[in-house]
Amino acid sequence: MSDPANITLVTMDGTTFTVPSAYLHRSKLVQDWLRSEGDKQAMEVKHVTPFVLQGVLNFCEIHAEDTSEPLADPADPTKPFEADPRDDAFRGMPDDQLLQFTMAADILQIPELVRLTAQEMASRIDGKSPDQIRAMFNPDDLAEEDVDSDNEMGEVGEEGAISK
Amino acid sequence: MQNFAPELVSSVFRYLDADQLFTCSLVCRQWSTIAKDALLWYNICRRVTQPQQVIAPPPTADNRSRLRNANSFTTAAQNDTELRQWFSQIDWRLEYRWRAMGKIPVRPVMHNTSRMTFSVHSVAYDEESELVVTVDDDGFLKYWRPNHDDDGQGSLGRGRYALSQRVFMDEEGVASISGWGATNGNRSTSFCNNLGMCIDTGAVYSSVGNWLQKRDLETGRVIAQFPVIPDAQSLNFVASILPWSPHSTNLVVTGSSKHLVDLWDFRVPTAPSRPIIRWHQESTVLCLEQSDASPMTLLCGGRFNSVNLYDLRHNRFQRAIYSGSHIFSLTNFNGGTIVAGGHAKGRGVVEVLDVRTESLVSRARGNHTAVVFGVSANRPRYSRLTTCSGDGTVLLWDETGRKSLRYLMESDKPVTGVRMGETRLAVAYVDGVCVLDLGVECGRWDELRQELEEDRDEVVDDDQGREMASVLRGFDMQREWSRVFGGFGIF
Repeated sequence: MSDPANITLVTMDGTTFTVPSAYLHRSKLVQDWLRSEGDKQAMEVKHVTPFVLQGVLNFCEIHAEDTSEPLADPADPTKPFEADPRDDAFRGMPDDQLLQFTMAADILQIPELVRLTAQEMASRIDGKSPDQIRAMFNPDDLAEEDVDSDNEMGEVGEEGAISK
Repeated sequence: MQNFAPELVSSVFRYLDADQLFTCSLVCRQWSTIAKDALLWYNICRRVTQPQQVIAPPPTADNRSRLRNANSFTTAAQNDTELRQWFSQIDWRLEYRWRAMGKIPVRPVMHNTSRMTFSVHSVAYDEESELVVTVDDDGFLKYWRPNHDDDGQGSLGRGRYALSQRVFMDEEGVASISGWGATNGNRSTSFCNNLGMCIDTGAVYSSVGNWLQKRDLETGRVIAQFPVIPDAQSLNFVASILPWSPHSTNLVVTGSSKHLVDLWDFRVPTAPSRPIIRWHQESTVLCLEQSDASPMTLLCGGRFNSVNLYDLRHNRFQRAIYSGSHIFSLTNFNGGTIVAGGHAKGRGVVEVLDVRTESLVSRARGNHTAVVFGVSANRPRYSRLTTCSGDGTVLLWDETGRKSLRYLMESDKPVTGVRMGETRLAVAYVDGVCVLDLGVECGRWDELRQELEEDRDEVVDDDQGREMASVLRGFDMQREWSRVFGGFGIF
């Protein structure tokens, strides 16, 4: 199976992006898709908005020429993480965007981007209270799930202790 | 806001440290579950670990990479029972607390393996060569060495210890092995239960049945051996051995179940049917020590209510220091004192004796709830003291030997022996043996002393302490009950 020069990606709302396949050599998802059998017209990337995918592709473009070894372990403690000045745009973005980028990186399985965004998220979590974290990431879900969990938390713990 | 996938959360969590992880576990229920994942804590342990500290790496390289690449433990060990078994040996969250919170600032560098399913009676440790020798139920003298090949983690330092040699004690056909298992958790009733180790001459002294053996430290080969029976018919199990150093490398003092303390000379191994010196005691002699302050003084303790002092130079009985407790172990300690561990009416005691004034200096009860099987100080400085007990704890003591500073180890099985080096501690317990690295502890020594100064006002005498403990226990019970009933909604 020959490697196509360009790959077409389709986002959740139908917007298409066509990029050189060399950009996406670090994405495990794309590589798996290329290796798989079947129609190679366009690859659907669900749950990703055009804006985010554009950002991810920018990242890929920046790093397309990188020759470093693919990351085996994004959080390997023995390998210190060096900040790359080319990625500063990703560090400055608002919380909800960062979250979406993290998800996109996870979906496309690009370890370098996962490391970048996850680390950035982790540094934003640092020093915050649980309430602040909730406000940061999850304001909608809070109403459904977490308010009651706050009240029940102690009780749940005790039931667990008793059953042991 | 879209749903936050669990895998995503855990991939973010991998970059958090323990405090942040704890905060995140309060955010919502899903996060709380994710934050408890063992793999996260394993990785945190790896991160807080200094290069010289050691985490036992998983058994195979394949498993190691699997653990590195997975986000959660469930995905890492999905179909691998071996890995799951290895991983579940340690509670990594607890491990982190031990390591980082200073709760138990020691690291096992050696752990028993499945090969040990018996009780270890005694342990000897040579810090220089990192050799650990153990004696146990199944009739082997076992040599343990750090297994450097097992490492695989590069900078993480040494790997686990591995059994390098097993020497069957009965190889020369000198004694019956039939009684090996009969220990009842009691040191003195076992056949082979004490092990003297003379590091200077590279020899290990051990007893098997009626026989006393001197073995080469490196090979385990028998250099010399002879029976210590007073007469041909009776059994005389040697319960304690003390190489008499540094005056001679061939003199060994033994204490035995026939109430005897003997001085033997290994230079005449073929017919030392008579000891050079023999003293009779009131009961079984469990421990011997040579005083550091006055080197010709021999101390012995056992199932009698005193520690007896002998002057070896003039071959005479010097003095008995009565304390009313049975002494199981003796060691030299700070400032020429001797520390004795044992029990008084079943409760563990740690006593400090002064050899020069021949008196009992202090006596600590209640730190160990059961018999103190072993006391050990770092030779030759004798600046730190550790004790171990039948209640499964190993304690570190202050420089006076009056107050315990903290727990070094808590086991659910009795701990039968400790041997302390400068930075490491070899511990024998009923299920095996381990070596703890006290490097952090040594560095924190001054800090501990300060803590001690602050705590000095709180030192309570024995009975008050007991009262307080019972009050505290009562309080705990109340809380426990209200918790139980509160949980069911009865109150």
